[in-house]
Amino acid sequence: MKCLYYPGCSQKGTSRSYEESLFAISSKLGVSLHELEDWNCCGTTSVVAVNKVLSLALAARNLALAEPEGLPLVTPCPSCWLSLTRANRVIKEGGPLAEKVRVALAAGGLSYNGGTVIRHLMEFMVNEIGLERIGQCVSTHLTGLRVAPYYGCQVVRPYAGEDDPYDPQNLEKLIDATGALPVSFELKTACCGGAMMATRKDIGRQMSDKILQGARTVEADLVVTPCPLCQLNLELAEYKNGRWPWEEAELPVLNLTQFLGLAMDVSPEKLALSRSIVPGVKRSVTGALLQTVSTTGE
Amino acid sequence: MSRRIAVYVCHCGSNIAGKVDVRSVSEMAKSLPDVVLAKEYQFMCSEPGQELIRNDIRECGLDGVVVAACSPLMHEGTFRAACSSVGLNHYLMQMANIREQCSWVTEDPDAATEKAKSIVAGAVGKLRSLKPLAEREVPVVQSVLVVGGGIAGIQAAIQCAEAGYKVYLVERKQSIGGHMAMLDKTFPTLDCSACILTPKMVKVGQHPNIRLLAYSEVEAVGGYAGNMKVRIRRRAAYVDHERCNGCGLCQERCPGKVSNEFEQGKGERRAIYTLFPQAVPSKPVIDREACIYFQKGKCRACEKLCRQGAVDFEQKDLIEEIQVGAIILATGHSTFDARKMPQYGYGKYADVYTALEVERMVNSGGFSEGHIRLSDGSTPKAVAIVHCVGSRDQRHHPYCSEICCMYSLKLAHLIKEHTDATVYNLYIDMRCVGKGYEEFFDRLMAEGVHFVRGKVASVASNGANGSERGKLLVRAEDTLAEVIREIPVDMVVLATALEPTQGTEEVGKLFGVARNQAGFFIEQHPKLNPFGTSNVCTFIAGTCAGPKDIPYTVSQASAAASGAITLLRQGKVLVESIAARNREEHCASCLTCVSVCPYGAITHEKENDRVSVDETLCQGCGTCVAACPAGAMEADNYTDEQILEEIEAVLSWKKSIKTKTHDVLKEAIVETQSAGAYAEKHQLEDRDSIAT
Amino acid sequence: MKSKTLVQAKEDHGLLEEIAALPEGERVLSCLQCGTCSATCPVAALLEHSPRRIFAMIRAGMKEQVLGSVTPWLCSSCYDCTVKCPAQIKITEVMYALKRRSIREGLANQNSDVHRFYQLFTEIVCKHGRIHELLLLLKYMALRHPLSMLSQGPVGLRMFGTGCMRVQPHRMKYRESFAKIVDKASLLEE
Repeated sequence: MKCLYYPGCSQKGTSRSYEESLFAISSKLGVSLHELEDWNCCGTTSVVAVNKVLSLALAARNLALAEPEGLPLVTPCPSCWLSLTRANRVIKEGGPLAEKVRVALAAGGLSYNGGTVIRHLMEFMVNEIGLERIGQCVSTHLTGLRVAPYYGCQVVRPYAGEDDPYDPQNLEKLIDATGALPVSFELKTACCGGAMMATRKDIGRQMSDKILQGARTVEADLVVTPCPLCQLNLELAEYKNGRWPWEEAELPVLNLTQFLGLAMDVSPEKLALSRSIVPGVKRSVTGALLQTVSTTGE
Repeated sequence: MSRRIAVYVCHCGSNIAGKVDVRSVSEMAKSLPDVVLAKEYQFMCSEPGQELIRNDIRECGLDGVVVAACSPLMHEGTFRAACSSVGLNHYLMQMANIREQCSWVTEDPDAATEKAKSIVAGAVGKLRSLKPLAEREVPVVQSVLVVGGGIAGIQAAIQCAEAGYKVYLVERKQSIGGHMAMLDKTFPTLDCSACILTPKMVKVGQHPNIRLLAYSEVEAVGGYAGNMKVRIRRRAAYVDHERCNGCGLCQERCPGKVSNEFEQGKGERRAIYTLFPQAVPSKPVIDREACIYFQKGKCRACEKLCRQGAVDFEQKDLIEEIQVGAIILATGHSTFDARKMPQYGYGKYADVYTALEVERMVNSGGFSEGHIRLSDGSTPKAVAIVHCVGSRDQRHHPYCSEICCMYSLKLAHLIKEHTDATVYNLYIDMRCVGKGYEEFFDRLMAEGVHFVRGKVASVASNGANGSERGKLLVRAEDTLAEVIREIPVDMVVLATALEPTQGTEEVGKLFGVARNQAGFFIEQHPKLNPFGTSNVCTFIAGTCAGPKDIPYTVSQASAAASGAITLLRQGKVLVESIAARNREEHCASCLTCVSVCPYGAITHEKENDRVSVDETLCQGCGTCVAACPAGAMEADNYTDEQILEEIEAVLSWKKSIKTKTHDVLKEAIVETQSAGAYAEKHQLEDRDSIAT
Repeated sequence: MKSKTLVQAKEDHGLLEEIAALPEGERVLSCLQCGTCSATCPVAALLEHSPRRIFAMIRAGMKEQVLGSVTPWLCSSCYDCTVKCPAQIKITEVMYALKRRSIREGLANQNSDVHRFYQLFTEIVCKHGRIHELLLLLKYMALRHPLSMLSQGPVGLRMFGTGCMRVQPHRMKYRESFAKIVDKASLLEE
């Protein structure tokens, strides 16, 4: 299966582990990802706070670049997915705002006719690649592992797609496909405060601590998220909680693709587990896996 | 054929004249063909306004009147009567609606004036080809059908029966009583609901004029105004109610158990069951889905126990046809499914209840025998009542359900009385409008019930947190104190919205009653006829027409009953004289009309292959006219020619005026031409070119 | 607010009308003041004005106080209020609109530097096409908290260690075309 890949800025920097682990499992899943040439930042929640036309034009430029390829544009980042989806809606609905975006694109010699289909990686996995295929790729069943599914905000709000915005299930389905147990996690769509991690750490930290606390309360072995910003933010919160580098991470927070890779026997190196900010994630994850395997006798 | 038509343009105070230039409309009307006079007047519906018409008809020998004013729904009757009182057939009075369809809905005064002119021209155009028709009266069958046996249906049925008319009361469930039978107390007086309802239920059961058809549904409605034929399906109860003496032995021993819908699914009932102890009729029915014999072919315990030999597994549905002169719809409401708002945790947390569930819980005959208990059997110490669940919400029902504030107050009182718990009401606005309602609110505040002005955002379960374990956390902004409050409680009560009951759409179609956007039946006029419908023989009562409390429901039911009684007392109903006619020369006897006629008014005589319309049965609905592939069917005053003439007049009235002035001008010039004035001829040609 | 009395002459309904005229503001006039947004908001407890109150202040014509408030800048864009608002007001989008206006009208709260972060972010994206985290953080911290850089030392070092902090900014391939789009879009008011 061939598709266009829109990484988003995080995947080239702070969330390299997400991209690296995605590429490590994509061949197993039979997906070939072609990075969109010369893509730019989607604008995310920042540019729209400064200039709306600019934010839409930034997103629309990517849609315009993707359109001639005629392939679905898959992004692993919920914030990118939302920015691109919103721009696509505005342009398709038409009206003065859409016209301004058209004018801006035209200034750069581009045009966009609303033909690009934008998909988020998690939903793409469930609905396009299919749980059956994913299940076939699983070689180590993670039976007994308690996993907290953490969606974050923007992959379910304001557009939830086919999933239930109040009680989404896509992440649970993917966790379930590995044989691990998706624990019932009340805060799974609560906000981690990532937007404030640079500006108002005092507020952001309270929010991410609450998520981590919630995951501990339901006795999760690890947290899995499809959002690179949530992953980073939760890790930063945990790092600050004063662990020593030689200790095991208490509650590893993994990107969705890292987690799936574990069940597919991809090496920890390829899954970029050592890129985690919290030291010891690699050790504790492999430790938890060993324990799982030994208790289930595999 | 030339006519003598007068046009009257009404100012309707500033309703029309504030937007439309009435003088210019009346000036324009004067120049329309066949119009002999046009006047404008402040209020045409006033006595002097009507007198103006009567006088002109007498003095000027008018044979057509156009009143440009409000909707015909409002004053068509007034002006028709004014015309016929001085001998002008009322079909020759035509209303031009320049208020609802023009001045009220058009922003620009110039555009409104232009539109008013078109509407008036259209009315004149149509009137020019209308013919006088004779009025028709048909007798009204002296019986009433009431659909729905809640408090509205009960009230209406009793009132009609007391007035001496035969009443058929059809109820879908096996007992009458409706929602009121489920309530424990009624606000604001705290009367026991059953104590005030059951005497009325018994009266329905005993009244010689009432035929109670419980466990039945209306399947089809036919006939015509005042003479409706109604087909009713009487569902098989599998118990012969003539033989059954209601001893209840069968219900005690029946092994088939399912959840009890009357108890909101909280308790259990048997497969053979009566709805509740005071049910009317108090005879049981067998629920096929729950019955072990019907599902597995073995059991028949009830049959063996019944000393009367009343159980009859072979019973079949019965179809009954009745004839009635008036219909009262009182089909009631349902309550909003709280699962649609998952943020409130209904169905997820055991101690989140709907108001109706708590109503059954407080009732001594209910599933917990009147004890307010949590799912673990303990008594709640703190309870939150969440207002507006599904109401005043664009995602669900934009309307206010009107009764929730008051029933929430009532439940707050009852919960406090039964358990001494701390009770919180979380509301957007307290709407306590009614006799004694504000006083009841005042009483509740004095009783120490807490009021928090803020819509609840979420109900969550409290995790491990010391002494607060196991509590439900109700989160809302206290918008008056301007703080976010997280209130730990043991029990949450959801004040769910009222919504049209399942099947309201089908009932509306069956009886030809329109519904509003929310799905409730629409009254003929929201203020002046809030119990009638667009169909003169059909009335509406109770919550099927929108959320309302018991006093308002009973008032509306009485009004609907009096509407029906008035109709029956008059004994006859005026029906439109407009009837369809078959123009035999065009008819190919395809019989399409026969199959589409809803009134069975069209017959085909085989001997001479003739299709003819029975004018007494025909209601002038026009279905056959539209359906006839040969265009042979025609309705009086709605012929193709007449309609085309009206359209033509609307579209090109300017042309007809121009031609008229043009004609005058031409005549004048012909005269001057004959006098040898050559120059003027050129002038005329110039004018022509300008005009075109 | 210094004074509890709102002087009628100082009311300015321009903001309400402006917001209501935006595609995202169509339902602002229908706010029930029910507080669902405030109670849903994950940061509400830390706000000087709850979102509900912001809407009330917009209605009351308190333009300067609204645009000078930090509340819109603390919106974390979680969209929880947007999906729950019974009046279907697109609250998150309205908060963005308030942010844009407060910058444009020079009313952004000077005691807070949150808006500067967003402006810096936008500048970097406009210049390099993609965000450059290190540049953004350095510029931002240099702007307001030169000393805070020290406190971020350990985590910063750790991020360099994991290879997640890129040093070189991205360079776009079709640089000119991109710059033209950015220039044109920046000139167009919504």
